[in-house]
Amino acid sequence: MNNTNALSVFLVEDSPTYASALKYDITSNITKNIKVYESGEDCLKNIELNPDVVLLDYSLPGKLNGIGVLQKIKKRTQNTEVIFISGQENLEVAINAMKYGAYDYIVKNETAFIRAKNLIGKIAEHKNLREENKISKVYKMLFFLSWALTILSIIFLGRYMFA
Amino acid sequence: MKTQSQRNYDLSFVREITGGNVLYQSQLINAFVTETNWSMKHLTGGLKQGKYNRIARHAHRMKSTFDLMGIDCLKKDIRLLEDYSKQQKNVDRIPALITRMNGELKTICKSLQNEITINQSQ
Repeated sequence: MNNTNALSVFLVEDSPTYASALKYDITSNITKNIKVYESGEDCLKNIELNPDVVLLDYSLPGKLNGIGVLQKIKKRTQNTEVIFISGQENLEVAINAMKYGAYDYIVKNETAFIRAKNLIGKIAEHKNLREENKISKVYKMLFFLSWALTILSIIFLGRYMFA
Repeated sequence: MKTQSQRNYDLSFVREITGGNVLYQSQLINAFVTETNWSMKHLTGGLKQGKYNRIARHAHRMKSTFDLMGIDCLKKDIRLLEDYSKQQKNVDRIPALITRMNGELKTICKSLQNEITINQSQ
């Protein structure tokens, strides 16, 4: 995995057993920075912590289901990637999840844990690339500015010397 | 001690993700037993009150924990229970499904708790 230790993850899952197992797997392999919430409302109360990834179950207790939580997260920030997890293959839920900006959709089957880890790894990779891109833009800007300053100084010096 | 084929659960996946961490395996088994007892109360309570949505919600949640614990013998039943209660169809079959699950889960939880005792003695 690509520099995933710094990644912060929210896991929104109402089954304590499933949440505990997935948390353990992610903690052992991806990042120790993971928080578990039992409902969408609890997750949204803490969303100002700006997690990089939210692993979001569709069926949740409370007034909001996964789609409602996804919409609220995306309305607030585009920097948090949401991976949708559902107990069943439901095309309508999958389409809605992607429509409202989910990064991907996982069905809770025997490969769910592996898929979750792979997707978090991909998100970390994209995040690193974005950071590198930002840094490279800053360097390019500084390089351009230093050249512009050099040229301007030559022009001024030239005018001063030949005046 | 029962062999894997005689047991009605399979902890291979749990062992795989925990990488042999016996203490954590015991914690996960305890979490499963507590959650299952709680969910069974909701299933029987929902049945008594005729609240099929409540049954569907809890059956849905239990489904993924059964897969985790390798409880294949109830894989079909839990899906049928979720489907019948969600769609409110074949509701006459729901009591039998819950009774069968209740009996089977009591045995499974007992065996799982024995696993914890064995783990602790090792």
